[in-house]
This record gives sequence, structure tokens and C-alpha cells, in this order.
Amino acid sequence: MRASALWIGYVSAVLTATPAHAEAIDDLELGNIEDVETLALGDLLEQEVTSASRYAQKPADSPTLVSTVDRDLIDRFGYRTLTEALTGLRGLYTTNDRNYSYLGARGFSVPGDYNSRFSLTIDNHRINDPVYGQATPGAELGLPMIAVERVELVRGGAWSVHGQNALLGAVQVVTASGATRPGVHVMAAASATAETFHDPAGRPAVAPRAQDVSASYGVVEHGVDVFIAGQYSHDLGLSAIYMPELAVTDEPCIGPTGQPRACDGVVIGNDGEEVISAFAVIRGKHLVLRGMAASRRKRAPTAAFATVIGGALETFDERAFADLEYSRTGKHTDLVARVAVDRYHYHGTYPIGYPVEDEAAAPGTVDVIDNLDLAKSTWWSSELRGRYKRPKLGAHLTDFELAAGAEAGTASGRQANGDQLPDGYSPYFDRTDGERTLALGGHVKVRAYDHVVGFAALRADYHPDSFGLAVNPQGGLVLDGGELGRIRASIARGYRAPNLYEQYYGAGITGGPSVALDAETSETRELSIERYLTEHMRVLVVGFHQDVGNLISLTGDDDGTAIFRNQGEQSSHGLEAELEARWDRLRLRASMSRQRARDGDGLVPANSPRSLASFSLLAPIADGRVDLGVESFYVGSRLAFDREALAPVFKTNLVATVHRVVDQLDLTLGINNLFDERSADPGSEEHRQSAIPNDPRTVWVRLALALEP
Amino acid sequence: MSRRAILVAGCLIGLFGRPAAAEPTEAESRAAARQVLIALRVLAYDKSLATRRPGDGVTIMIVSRSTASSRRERERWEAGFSLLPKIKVGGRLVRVLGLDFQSEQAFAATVAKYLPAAVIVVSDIAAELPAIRKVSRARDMLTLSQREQAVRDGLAVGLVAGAERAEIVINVEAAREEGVRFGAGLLQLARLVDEVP
Repeated sequence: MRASALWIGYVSAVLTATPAHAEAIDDLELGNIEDVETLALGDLLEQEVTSASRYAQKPADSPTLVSTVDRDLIDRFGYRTLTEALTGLRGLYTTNDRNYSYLGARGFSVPGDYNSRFSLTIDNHRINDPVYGQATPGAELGLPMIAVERVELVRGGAWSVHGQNALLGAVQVVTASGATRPGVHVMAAASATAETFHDPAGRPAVAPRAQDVSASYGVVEHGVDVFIAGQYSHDLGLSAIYMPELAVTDEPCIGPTGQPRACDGVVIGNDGEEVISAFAVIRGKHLVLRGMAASRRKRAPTAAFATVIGGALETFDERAFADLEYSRTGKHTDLVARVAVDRYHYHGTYPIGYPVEDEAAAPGTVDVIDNLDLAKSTWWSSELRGRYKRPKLGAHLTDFELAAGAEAGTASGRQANGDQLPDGYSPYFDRTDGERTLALGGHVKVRAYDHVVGFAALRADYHPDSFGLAVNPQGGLVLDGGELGRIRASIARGYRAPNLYEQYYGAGITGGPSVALDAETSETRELSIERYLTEHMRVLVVGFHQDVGNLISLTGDDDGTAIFRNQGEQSSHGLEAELEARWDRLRLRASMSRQRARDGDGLVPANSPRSLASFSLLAPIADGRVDLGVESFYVGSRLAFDREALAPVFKTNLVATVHRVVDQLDLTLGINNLFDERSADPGSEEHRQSAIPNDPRTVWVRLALALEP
Repeated sequence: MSRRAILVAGCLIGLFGRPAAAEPTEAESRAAARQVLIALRVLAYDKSLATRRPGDGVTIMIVSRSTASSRRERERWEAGFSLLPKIKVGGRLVRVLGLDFQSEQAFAATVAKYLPAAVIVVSDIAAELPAIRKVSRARDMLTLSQREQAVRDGLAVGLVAGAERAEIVINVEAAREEGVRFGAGLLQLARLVDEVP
């Protein structure tokens, strides 16, 4: 049978199948329900996703595919950051340069872009800052994982909902509440490296790594739901790291105390991290108040940005926000208003080494001058959106939904750079720039003849202080075959505005005028088939094509200065497959993807793997007293920024939890990088090295105490 | 966060953030109605419902403690039921009965008087569980909770919130002790757990 005949047959089967999701329960006229047995239990149990439209909706109604990592997976695998939770999701891969972590999707991850091409929201509160546009998924985000109820990921196709930055995807974190995580929960974890192979850095086989304590408290009293969480973690980092590109002959190298040492490619220490964070949310009748404050201090051993090898390169990230949301729900309408204030502060210390010419000094003596890099931003944002919905609209239309909203924001970002000289601070530049944004958007969704869901959206974003106006449409169609499966097709256009760093940092350093930057643009087309094999098993196949244009990237001028410009483009297409199954507490997830990405010159871009694969299994044993979990990730070969090909990464993690070791106490033992594979992620333009080593095998233990009322 | 931001946030809370009224919001009521539908749909899987509770109606009891938060949860359940005035299980109209747990004797007397087919036990009941379990088993009354721990402690059915799907957790032995015989269709959908001694 030809492929087209198979396709037509499948579409016919979907359209003639009995829809299990003909009407969303929330939209039913509840007062008219008489016989509960006419309702499918599986349908009643289905949970909504929010990231596709910012309104809770059933996956069957969602125009775009949403992947979720729920609390069960987070708890049982012991994920400590969003990066760990997202790693292995279909088509997604992560990169770590031993300072920040980066997300990549569908063969697209620009090294060193601070995830500015992803949107990150916490309960619909936008996290991307105006200076760097960062969507920080690692420890630098500072959100305690104990506060996370689930993480949702939309790949592309969500600009009309999430606005700029969602060029490659949008990550939405849904936090816990006093109702979902009541009582006191405390987790304490410790880890150590346990290496099999002798590392060229000469590290001991076993060495302590991190201690981590987090706690939460949730309660519902007098109609007010309160949830608070906090975390403190301290990671010593690797005691020594070998990076062959740092074995140089024309530069000085120093040890941990600043003393000269041989440039043998080994950096001693300089890998530690300290995070402290707090999150709170108070939910009342119509009002929700959220707040977060977090800081992270990280040493980076990579000698990035031409700093002295072995020097104490340190970055400090501090974030805080307060978000007040008002919502009111009527029979056919709902309204959400939000006002929020955010603050992000970054401070980097970059030690630059100058060889001492004095003959009296010992050979190799280095004068270290700290270059201080700073960004401080504060931004206010506001939002008003409403939705009108009707369960029925005429004879054949149901689940009609019309939504519209407006957003306005104003931001101020300060960027400064200078040297800390012995006689005081000497600035290179210190400038503050503002940014205003205004957005209007809306969408309409309707289900026709029980089986077809149509979705269309339009969003206009106005950036008066930079490139001006961007208007982006999105459209989607779902053929819903209920328990048989679904076919989705979507097309979406999006953009990313240049951030303040890209617009003004180069001009600040050079003292020249800033270069007017246009917005990056993107268009994604996606077609997927989702099929339930049994009640417990689901398969998904997705084909996609994505074009990104007007890429903003760092370029060198003839005079040697580097500045951001719109140049280049990239396109990728590929196929993804996913299998997900669940029997009782046994959970299985596997995915594979193949993609082909090319830049404007027809070359494979940096950090763009051709193949990705992942597998995870969680299985209860010993009558459920013990949980065993294993997860493996494969990332195909990638090119570094200097076109050097890196070996594929294959990593396996193992975890075992013994429930109720003592009363309410669970004990978890985990091994990350079980086979102690020596893999590396690509570096970026600021690095000397094309490959930055990943962590060796790490063993961890966690105690989790749950005191629920 | 600057002092000005804290001040503005404080003013907004002061203006709008007074404690919520006691009655559940419409959104809460609709969410509760969804939970009610799940609970009743589970009850409809009980093959012995007609024999253990004959008559022209099906009574569901919601039992709480006498604390404000516990009553609040009970009120949410009741609000959910109130949005479903015509709902029937096994062709019989559903009636709702709310009760503050005072003592085992009082609870047993109320159960004996109204003969509920099922009792929904609100989340913060823990110390009273043995008494509820005992009376329910003596009176063939299905017990439901939103906490998995309560099911592991001897109640029959848990309607547990999850990220992607709500989950039904069943303690089969407890259900059997309560005179309930669930159909295979439900047992395939649910996660079965054992009672922890």
C-alpha cells in the first residue's frame, strides 16, 4: 500500500472514531448532567495543560504538542534543576559550559546565547530578563525544585501565546500549592564523585561534591492557600579539571592561591557553586501573590573571556520577583489581570593575567587584574486578558473559545564594565538603557463535528525603543479521534527582539555608536500523529520544519572589535518519535529524533546534533516499597564553534528509592553517569576550548521527609 | 526587590487581599464538581451497589473535622455537588450529607440512620481514620479520599491529583471489606495499592 493510501486510511479512521473528548468537562452544562455513567472515567481524569494557550485546556484541544514532566517524575528521579527535568524530552538536549546550562531544540542551540531563544515562565510569570533575555533552566534560576508541581514544554509554535523569546520553545513551570503539597516536606541530599578511570587531572577516585537542603510548607486555612519553599545548596565542584586547550606555552597560568603553576591544561578547583533561594505563593479567592528571591554564586574553571588560566572566574546571579494576579471566572467568561515587578542582578569577576616583567619576580609571576562585568535590570510588567467560551455554538460547533489580551511593560537595564585596579575602579563604560513593550493578541478555538478542533491566533508586539512592530500569526488543526489518537497540524511565525546586551554592550565597550538591530524571525510547521496503543501506552510521531532568519550573532569588525549584528539564518527539519507508557507506578518513556539543520551557507551549525535518543523507566519492586529508575540519553556528534567534531554523548543515570525507611522518611540512592563516560559539551565563542568536560560518575543520597496533615 | 516595590505590593494586598469569603469560589466549585463526577463514576463501577444500598436514592456522606480548613474542604465538595442537581448513579438520584466528625459513636449513629453508599473523607483527617474505617466496614460503606496515604492506611479509594492525569488509587482489600465489588474496567484504570500495616 502506498504511503498516501495509509495516510488517508488513518485520517478516515480518526474522523469516524468515537470521540472520548467530545466535550471538555469544564465546559459541560454541569446542571444538566443526569447519568454519571455516560461520562468516560478516563476523560474525567485527564489533566489540563496550560502552556499551549495560557489557559488550562485538555491536551486534545491543544493546538500544539505539550510535553510534561510531573512531580512524580521529579521526585522519583531526584531532579535538582529544570535542566535535569527537561533533559531527554523528545527533541530536546542540554549543554553545560560549567557555568550556565543551555537548552537546544530540534538541532538549534546557539552556544553562549543564555537561552534567549526560549521563553521561561513560572505560573505564567515571565522570567526572561531585558538585558540578556535569559531563560535560565539550571541552578542559576534559583527556583527550589520542591516547589515545582510540573514542567511543561512547547517546542516552537507558541509565540502568539508567549511572545518574544519563544523562538525555539517555551518552558512553563507550574508550582505547587498548599492543597497539592500540604504539610511539611524536607529533603536533604549529598553527593560525591566516584570515578572508575584515572582522569588526566589527577582527581581522587572519590571526592565530596554537593550538599543540598530544601523544605516546603503548604496549608489551606480560612480559604487562603499558602505554599512556601526554600533551598540551600553548596557544590564543591570538581577538584581539578583537565582541558587540553589550556595547556599553552604563551600564556601564564596560576593555581588556586594565585601562585604561578605549569600550564599543563589542569585547572585546580574553581568549579564550585552556592545557591540560596526562596519561593512563596498565597492564593486567595480572586487574588494570587507570588514571590521569589534567589541568588547563585558560581566559579567557572574554563578561563572563558580570555581570563587567566586557573584564575578565580566567578559569576553571581541574583533574581527576585513579586507577581500579583487577579482572576475572576464567570459562566462563560473569565478575566485575568496581572502586575509584576522583577529584578535581576548579574556580577561577573573576570581575572585577567598580566605577566610581571620585573626580573626580581619569580618566573611565571602574574599580576591579576579583575575585570568586573555588571548588569542590573528592573522591569515592571502588566497584563490583562479575558476569555469568552461557549460549550455549544449552533448545531455542530462546540467548545468555542475567544480570548484577547494586552500586555505592557517597561524595563531599565544597567550594564557596566571596568577593571578593579590597585588604586581603584577604572570603568570602561557604564550605561543604563530603557525598553518599553506593548503587545496585543488573541486567539479563537472551536471544535466542529466533534472531531475537528481549529485554532487561530494573532499577536502584535510593539518595541518602540528598538526595532518597532512585529505581527505574528499562528494556526492549528487537530483531528481528534478520541481514544484512537489525534492528528495535529500547525504553522506559526515568531520573533525575538534584540536584548539590551546585544544592542548596547558592544557600543559600550568600543565607545562607538550602537548598531540598530532588527528582530530575529522564525517560522515553524509541524505535523504529528498521536496514537493510543492501549489505555496505558501512547506513541507519537512528529515531523517538523523550522526556519530562523535575521539571526543576531557576534561578529568581528575590521578593527578587531566584536559587535552584534543581524546576520545569518538557519533551517532545520526532522522527524521525532516518542513512546510513553504507564502501568500503575511503572512508567516508561522513550524518544528518538533525527534532524538536519543547516545555516545560510549550507553548513551544519555548531551544537547541532543529528540524532537524539532517550529512554527512562521507573518501576516499583518489593510490593512498592522500593522504586527503581533508570534513564539514558544519547546526543549525537556535535560541532564546536571552531568546527571541531565532538564525540557523541551517552549518559545513564540510575536511582533507587526505599519508601518509609523510618515512618515518613524515604531514602534515595542515585548514580549519575553510571558508566563514568568522559563526555563533553561544545564551548562557545568566549571559550578557548572547543569541548568542555561533563561531570564524571556521581553518587548521591537523599533523605525525604513528608509530614502531611 | 526595592522598598518601593514592596510598598506597592503591600498596598495592593491591603486593598484587595483581605481574607477570602468562606463560600467556595465558582472556579473551586467547578473543580470540585469535576472531583464529584470522578467519585460518582467510580461508585458506578460497584457491582454490589444495588444490593448493599437498595432504594430510590444514593446518599453520599462528606465527613470533615471541626476545624475551619477541614470544613472548608467539605464545603468545596458540597459546592461541587450543588452544581450537579440532577446527577444520578445507577439511575438513582444522589443526595449529599455533610458531617463533622465528633466521635465514633456519633459517626456510627449517623451512618446507621442515613445509610450512605459512600463517604468522602476530607484530606486532613488522620487520627479519626481508624474509627471511620471500622464503621465503614461494618456498614458496607465505600470510603474515598484525596490522599494516597489514607488509602494505604485502610480507606478504599483515593482520587489523587497528578500532573498529567488525576489518578485513582484503590486498596482492593479495603474495598472488599467495605462490601464493594469493582468492575474490571475500573481496576484496569486504577493503581492498586496495599494497606501498610
